[in-house]
Amino acid sequence: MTQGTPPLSRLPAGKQRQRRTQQRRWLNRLWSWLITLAGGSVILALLGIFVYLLTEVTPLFKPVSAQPIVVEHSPPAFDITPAPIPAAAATAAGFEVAFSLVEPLQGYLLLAASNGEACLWWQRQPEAGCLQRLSLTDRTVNLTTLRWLAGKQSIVSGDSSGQLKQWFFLPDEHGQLRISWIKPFARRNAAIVDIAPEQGRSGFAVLDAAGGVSLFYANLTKPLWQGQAAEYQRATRLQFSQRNEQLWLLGPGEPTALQLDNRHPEISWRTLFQKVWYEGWQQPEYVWQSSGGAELRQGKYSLVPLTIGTLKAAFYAMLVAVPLGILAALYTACFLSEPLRSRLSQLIELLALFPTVIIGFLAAIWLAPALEQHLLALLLFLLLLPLLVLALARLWPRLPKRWQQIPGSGWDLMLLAALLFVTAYLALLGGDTLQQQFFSGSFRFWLNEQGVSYQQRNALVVGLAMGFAVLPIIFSICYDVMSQVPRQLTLGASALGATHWQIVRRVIWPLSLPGVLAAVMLGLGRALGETMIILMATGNAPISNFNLFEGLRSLTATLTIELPEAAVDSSHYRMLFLVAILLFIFTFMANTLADLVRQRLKRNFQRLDT
Amino acid sequence: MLVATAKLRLMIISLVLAALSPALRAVSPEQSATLAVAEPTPLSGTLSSTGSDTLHNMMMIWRRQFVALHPQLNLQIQSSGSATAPVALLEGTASLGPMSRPMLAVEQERFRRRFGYDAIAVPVALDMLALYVHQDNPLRSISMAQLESIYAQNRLCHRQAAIERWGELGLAGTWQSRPVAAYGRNPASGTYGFFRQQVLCEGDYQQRVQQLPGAAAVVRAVSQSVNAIGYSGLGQQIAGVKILALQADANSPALMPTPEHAISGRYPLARVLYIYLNKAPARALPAAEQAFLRFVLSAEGQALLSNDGLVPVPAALRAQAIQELGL
Repeated sequence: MTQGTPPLSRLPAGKQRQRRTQQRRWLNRLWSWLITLAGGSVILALLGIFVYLLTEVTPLFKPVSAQPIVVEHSPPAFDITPAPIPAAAATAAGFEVAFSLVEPLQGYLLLAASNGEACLWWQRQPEAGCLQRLSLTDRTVNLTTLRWLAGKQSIVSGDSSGQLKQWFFLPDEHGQLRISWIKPFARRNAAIVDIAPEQGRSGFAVLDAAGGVSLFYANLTKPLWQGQAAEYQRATRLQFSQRNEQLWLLGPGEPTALQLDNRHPEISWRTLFQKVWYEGWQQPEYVWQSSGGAELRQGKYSLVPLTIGTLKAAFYAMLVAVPLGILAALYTACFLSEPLRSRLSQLIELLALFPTVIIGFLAAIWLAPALEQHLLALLLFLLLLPLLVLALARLWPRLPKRWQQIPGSGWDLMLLAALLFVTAYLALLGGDTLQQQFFSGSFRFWLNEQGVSYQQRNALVVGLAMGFAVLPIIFSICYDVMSQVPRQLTLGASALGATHWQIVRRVIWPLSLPGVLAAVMLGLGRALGETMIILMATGNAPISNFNLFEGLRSLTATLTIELPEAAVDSSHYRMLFLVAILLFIFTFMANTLADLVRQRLKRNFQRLDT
Repeated sequence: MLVATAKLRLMIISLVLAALSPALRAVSPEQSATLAVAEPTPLSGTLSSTGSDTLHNMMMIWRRQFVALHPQLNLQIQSSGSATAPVALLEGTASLGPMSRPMLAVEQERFRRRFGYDAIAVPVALDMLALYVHQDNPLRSISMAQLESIYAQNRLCHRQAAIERWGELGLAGTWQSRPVAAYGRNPASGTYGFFRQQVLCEGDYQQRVQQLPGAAAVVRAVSQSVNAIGYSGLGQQIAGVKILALQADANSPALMPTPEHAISGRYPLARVLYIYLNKAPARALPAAEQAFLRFVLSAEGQALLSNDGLVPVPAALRAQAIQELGL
């Protein structure tokens, strides 16, 4: 230290102080900007993702457009000479054959006369004559065209009254192949002149005598596009270009052509949410079937099985997690005393950290086979447990006084745990014995014989496994809410002479109910968005039912399984983005509801505090 | 008719054997087999591979041996399905694209639009799909028509009635009423597409067929479920499952998936596995890729195939690939 007079204040002198203030102001501003930027960019990123999803999906629903163009080069010659008809077939039909179609896989032959009379003949049974006789038109009108759609699984016929009909080859109840009438398409205004199938896709174009051209897709009765022009009247034939981008109208005069923009004909709201009768299927159904390994003629993209799968898995998981989570929270928050209480709650919350892949894996390789073997034991357990607990409760007052006074909390926990184990053991023993005695060794196969479909990897397995994953979320929120009930209320009730049980039922429970609801909604959000458990514990079969013993396919699992293989910009690819949006909407709804409920809860507590 | 076309596809292997061009003879199988495995110059850097899950085990085995030869070289392998290979090659995120099926026209076209030439397919192994059942299942063989009746929804190939119980496959006793639980792969896998093409005649799968991600997952599921049947690569054998002999049609014998039957083309579910490459016609492959493929196609690399239940590529086909790559 020097001898000079020490400064009166340690605060910096005028100029320096000013500089410091300025510095601090700058720093503050910088920080606030950074924070704003971070917050804003998060919001922007979220919006961006959503907008991106939408831009990927919107092309699916873009209306089809067609522009007349100048034909630059004449289309490749198109072989329209029909295959020779075997003499045996012609005699079997007994009419003058105007149209003939050959089924390529087995060699069935469909012959038709110009009045619509038709005969199905099979080369493997030539002596049988016509296997089926039918009329492809109403008697009064003439058949004018008969064409295969791509893939040669379904037929479209057109007649002189402008009607279009779709026909399938379907086996009847005896396994005999039959031509079956499927559906009419929207009627054209004039006689049908020609039908052209798309290349490698199930759409087709129709030309009518009034010069009308319309584009159809096999699953939809209404045309995707239609147009009319006088010059089209000259045309007699339609043909698609190799990639279905152009439609040529050919005839005696100059060929004309239409440039088409029809990328995703198979997607419409109808095919996404209604039953569709696909080629070769026995009846209309909700089908999700895609393939990255091959180009499909008909993508089958129904969102119904996936939505049902997601809801089914979430429902059964909630069935497990909600009662267990809420009751566990109630017990821990209201009935346990301190050291044990916080330790137990921490332990349950720790379960949330369990990687879901592990849960899914265990569910698939251990739980699913075990459940299949001991299904009866599980049912017995669910039946026995409440009975035994009730019996114990009934027995309790009759026990000697010495036994009833349990030292400290935690003992009842031990006692009930012991009861649980005893019940489980009894159920296992009883279930297996019953199974051997009455169900010829396997309850699961017995169920099958009763007509209940049972798959090893089913919704029950998912419910248990995912319930286990959702439970900690529900528990921890419920626990927090219940232990935050204002103390003056419980103490007040206690002072007024309420019993512990009365306090729980009349004070804690009603107050924490909104919080419990919020916990349930958050758990639901988690269950809807869960991926790995469902992916691994189910067979991912896209089934549309709520059977507990059958598998399911969720929106999330579909994304995981299929997104890596989807060809960019294909219908399949865009459909998967639509699936993602649907999933987003589900979880968003669950979480928003939870938030609303939570805000109400906050207001309730504020009111109580004042 | 269809059976004939299916057979044809498999006969390609044997056809190639027969129809070797004179140019090919320049590199004889013996020569290719004697191609030096060890490189005198040490290679370094990173090779990455993205694609087929079927080839995953094999790529790992090859990597182990290959990296032992070139310790400086790092080979990253990602296996999430054949359909990921074309995308990875296109984006340049991988230089090797193992695939369990040939590239589709669309995929090849997208590649051509970007680079101006086709991606090159190098046949690296023959694989057979085996039909697995639980070891307690008394069934010994199954026909293609029966398989279709189990797996297909619309049964285009044989038009036979659907099969839902093991009794309909000729099993008696307790098995008679047991339902058939069918397992298969997820659509990302080339196996799913191959099975769909060969067995279902491009038809649709039954809705109840369970789709599992991973070749091993299918076999594991079968080993745990007594009434299950599943298809997967031959390399996935574990305890608890049994492989069925497969009958192509009513007139042919039921055959087990063995190397001889794969090469002769008589086992109906055999296929070629490829590694796809991005190689400009004029330019030679980078040294690391070259060394890896030379190793894979060498006698030593092909001998490793049996560790994973795969079958070596016929020498002539290998020689053709070696010549095409300029190794």
